[in-house]
Amino acid sequence: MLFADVDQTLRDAIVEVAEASFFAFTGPLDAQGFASLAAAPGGDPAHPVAPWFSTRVAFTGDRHGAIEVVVPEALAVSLVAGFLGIDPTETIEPDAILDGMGELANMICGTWLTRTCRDGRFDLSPPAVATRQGAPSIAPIGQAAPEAAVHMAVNDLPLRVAVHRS
Amino acid sequence: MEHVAIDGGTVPAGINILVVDDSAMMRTMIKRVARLCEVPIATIFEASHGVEALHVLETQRIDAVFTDINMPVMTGIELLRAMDSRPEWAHVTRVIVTTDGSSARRDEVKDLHVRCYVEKPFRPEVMRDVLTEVTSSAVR
Repeated sequence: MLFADVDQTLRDAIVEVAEASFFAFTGPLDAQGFASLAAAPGGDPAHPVAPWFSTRVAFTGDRHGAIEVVVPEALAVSLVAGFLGIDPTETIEPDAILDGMGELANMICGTWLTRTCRDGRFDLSPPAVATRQGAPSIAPIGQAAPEAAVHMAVNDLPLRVAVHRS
Repeated sequence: MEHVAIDGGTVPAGINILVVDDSAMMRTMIKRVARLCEVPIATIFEASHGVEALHVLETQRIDAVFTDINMPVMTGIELLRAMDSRPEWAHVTRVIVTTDGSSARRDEVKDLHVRCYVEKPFRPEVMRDVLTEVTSSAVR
């Protein structure tokens, strides 16, 4: 294992970041629940293939790897609005959503690494944000399965964070 | 790079702050807290990395720098080292705002005259307290 007790430490980091900086509420979710919510983000079966954001942040130092944060567009908008203190129905520029998803992944990764190896040293890569239709597979064909994956409900919408060993 | 006057200049005497972060959203959030907490700030300048920050420092009177660490082009650590090499910037208060709270990183900045080390995520009241402390000690 890259880290001990990775599921719980990652979950703690997600809750801390979501609640402290994005003013979001969090709840438990398992892989099956994630898949169910992912099939109809926001509980809207009319839009089952809404855009999703996938953000990767690599880390080097005492440990090497990457995390990938996956959220549907509705959650991305909700989180950015919460961070900026604006109404989610207000127009948010696409660049702001991308920037916000980068900062979300950056904060989750940095918080998790700080909590799990406070005496160690790490450097983070700039976040790489990608969009696609529908929830991305956790282990696309030809790629290794992640070392760990945590699913959570944030503002009642699905979020997944996977840890990859490099 | 841009700068904004706080509340249209309703605070006549205050300090100039430079916020350095590659996330525009984070820069916006810090500016918003500054507006809300009514500390005596004249102007907030912005830069998205260290090189842009050095340009602002060269061209504007800056009293306090709030900088991220992990940024493209020039990191916050490189920026602070560059500032230390310039005696005319010795008066500038330095605040780090970063996700990296490791003891190794904190040790690294010990000799870089950092006044405050703020870990992300932070609640707005944490940034308010830092802004209040910085402005109360640096008001010209």
